[in-house]
Amino acid sequence: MIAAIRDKLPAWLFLIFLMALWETAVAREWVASYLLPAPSEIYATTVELWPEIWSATQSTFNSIIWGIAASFSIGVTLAIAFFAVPILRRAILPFCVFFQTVPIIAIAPLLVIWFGFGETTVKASAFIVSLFPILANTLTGLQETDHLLREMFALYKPSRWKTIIKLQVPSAIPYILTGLRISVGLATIGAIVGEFIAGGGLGSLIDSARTQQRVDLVFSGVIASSVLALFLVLSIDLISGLLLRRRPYTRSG
Amino acid sequence: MGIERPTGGRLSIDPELSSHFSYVFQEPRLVPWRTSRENVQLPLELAGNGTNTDNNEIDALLTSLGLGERLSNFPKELSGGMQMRVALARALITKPRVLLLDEPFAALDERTRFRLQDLLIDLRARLRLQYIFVTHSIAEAVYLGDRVLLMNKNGEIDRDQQIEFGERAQSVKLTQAFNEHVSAFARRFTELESAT
Repeated sequence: MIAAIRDKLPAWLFLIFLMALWETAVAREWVASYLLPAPSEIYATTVELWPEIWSATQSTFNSIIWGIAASFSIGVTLAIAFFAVPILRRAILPFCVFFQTVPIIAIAPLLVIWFGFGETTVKASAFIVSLFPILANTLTGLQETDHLLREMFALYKPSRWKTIIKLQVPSAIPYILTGLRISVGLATIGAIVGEFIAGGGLGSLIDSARTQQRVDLVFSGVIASSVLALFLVLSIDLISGLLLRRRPYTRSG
Repeated sequence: MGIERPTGGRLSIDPELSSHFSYVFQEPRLVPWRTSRENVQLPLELAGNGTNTDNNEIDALLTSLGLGERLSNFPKELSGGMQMRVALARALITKPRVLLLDEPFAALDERTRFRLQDLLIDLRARLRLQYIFVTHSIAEAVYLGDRVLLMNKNGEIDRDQQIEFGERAQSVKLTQAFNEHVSAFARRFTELESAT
């Protein structure tokens, strides 16, 4: 407990110092408040417009969950398929890598053309950016099974499918969880980028606040999106922790 | 068995025995996310009849190896000796007639090692199986073997010795007969060393 406080205390003190400095800088008009509103002003705006911010956050959250659910199921399935059928991997994986290098902001307009304005585009955008980390991590996990355990399995001459299900997939679980952790962060970015263009959620809240010169509301939206991303990452950590405590999925014995 | 390819020589296996081999590695090689019970069940699952396995049989086997309290523990929660006993149970669940063991007790402390040696002797009598046991310890070879083969650096059989004791128990190690066998092998060791 004491150690935890000693560990975290400097960061909290620094945050308080930063906030105080920021507040003072605006109050003394070192910076114009229409460019950088004071923390107190952002707080007031957040409280005042809470219903809007909350509903926008929920909408973004919803799109992220859809995107992540899709990239998790498709990513893991694809990785297993690539692992089981190497020729598939050699044929398709290079394109996944290439696809991954295309910036989401550049394809977002295309998504609008395909899926129209609204949630479908946002979900698709969250899905596209979060697919690759799960796919790549799962594939690595499947490939890095402990060779001593593989040898032991081979003694019993199981079918390839059984080896994948009983050995390779469980061994890959820590990797899949790491991929998921990276992916939720990216899915948040993907969803907000999608909302900039297709509307809805925090992305559109931030964008319309910008056009109305409401910098305070822009800050509220930005803070809401980072709190949302943090919440998602911590949730994944919690789920991973519970899962691994129940069953120690590790690479080697 | 199909792990290593032979580099030479001739290997003939009685066809009647060929499907009754089991193997114990130098390490326990347990699946970390499976409990003791599930680890023992693995060979049955992989062979295809895992769904209708008699759980009681697995539990009874583990209990007979002194692991009755550890059925639902994961390998990391077990000591090295216990892990090796789970590995033994995994080898025994397929009801082998020949057990191949590759220095299985090498990494264990002396006390645990002695206990597992006696367990193996007991299993041999109880389950009527034979074993081929590879070890670097002369005393272990003499204690566990009816026939001890000494292999030289070129992999050739240098010495082939029948060994008989009335009953094998750790006290045998104090007898003159036991120590004569051990010193005979030790002498041969030294000769081989000085020859090179």
